[in-house]
Amino acid sequence: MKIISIYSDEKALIRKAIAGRRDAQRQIYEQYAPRMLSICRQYIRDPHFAEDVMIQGFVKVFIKLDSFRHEGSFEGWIRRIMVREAISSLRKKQFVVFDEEHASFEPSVDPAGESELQAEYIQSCIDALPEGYKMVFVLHVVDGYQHAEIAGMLGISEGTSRSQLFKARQVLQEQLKSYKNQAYGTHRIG
Amino acid sequence: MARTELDKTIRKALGQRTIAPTSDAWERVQAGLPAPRRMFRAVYYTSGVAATIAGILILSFLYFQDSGVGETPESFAGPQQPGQEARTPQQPLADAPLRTEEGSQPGPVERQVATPEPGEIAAGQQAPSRRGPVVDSGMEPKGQTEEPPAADPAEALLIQAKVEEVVARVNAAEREGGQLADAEVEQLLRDARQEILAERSARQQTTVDAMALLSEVETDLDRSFRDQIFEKLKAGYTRVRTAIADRNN
Repeated sequence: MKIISIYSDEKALIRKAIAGRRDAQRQIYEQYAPRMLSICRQYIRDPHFAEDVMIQGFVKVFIKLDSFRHEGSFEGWIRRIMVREAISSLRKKQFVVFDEEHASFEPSVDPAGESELQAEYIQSCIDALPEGYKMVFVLHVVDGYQHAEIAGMLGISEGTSRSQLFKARQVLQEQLKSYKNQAYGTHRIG
Repeated sequence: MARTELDKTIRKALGQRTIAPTSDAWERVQAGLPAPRRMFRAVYYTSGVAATIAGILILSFLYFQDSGVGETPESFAGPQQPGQEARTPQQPLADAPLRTEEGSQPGPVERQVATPEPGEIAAGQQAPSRRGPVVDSGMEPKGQTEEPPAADPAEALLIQAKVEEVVARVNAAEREGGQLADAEVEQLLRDARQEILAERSARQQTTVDAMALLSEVETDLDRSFRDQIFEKLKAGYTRVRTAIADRNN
């Protein structure tokens, strides 16, 4: 998708979008939609459902655009809206189950060469996680939220958030380790 | 440490990833948005222009209608003599323009003193002896003959009554103590003129004229004050004359 830059100044672009200019709103959409769909996809396995969430997120972005105070990055502001929309959508559909019964493991050895793993495979590994694990892991590791924030967003305790993260890491390490061993036997990833 | 490396790897891999949405995603976003404000603004703009034009037309109509209403009373004010100027109710009586024979010449004007016609004098009464020309200083009030002709019979009767009253006073004064001074005649005419103007103003105006009321009150106060002065002087003169007579006796 080619982004045609009509407004070079981001503030002017936002101002036009607040005024209801469709061309400015479309430029914002085309500039940030691929990244925001990827963020929604991190939380939601189904790509169509992820796109629906992204669309609802952009609708909220444009409706609440006049509340943006230019105090942080515009992309970060949109990203927060997308994350909250994804979490809200998942919780509405009751996809999120926090597993407290899962046994804890000792951290395994760091598999070498993880930086070479493809994003798609990592995404598939994350998709394979239980929803509770996946949500806490992505919020903390990818989007950088602290456990207190995650607990507030998901309505869980900080201990639960830490526990879910620990378990998610264990599972991912196991999956990536097996994938690495499998990949070295067939082809090299990267 | 291993967890840190895992986090960095995953964060780097997912942080740079982008996924292109489907082609109809923007239309779905657009469908979820409210109507563009520009349409509302255009509607407001058009309505505002229409309302402004309508307002201007209404105000213009009212303005010209009011102007026509303001001119209407003059057209119904009765027959107006050539050269007679219209006097507004707000204009003080003392400043009311009076018609003069010489027009509007500035400064002192030589003119005839108003005197009653012989036919207007009552039987057995004598006409005032002075009919010669006097010099009007311009500050003096105009004579009674300068009053515009009465438009209605009531005013004509009032003027006639005033003329007869002045003539009667002059005749009575001449019978008692000889001839009157010019200033006394002027004072009589001035009083009669003020009373005629006050009466006319009271008849013409349906509303209360503050200046007319003030003028009337000032006239009354002036008259009473003058009478008091005369009384004091008279009493003092009588007392002195009595004292001198007693001393001579």
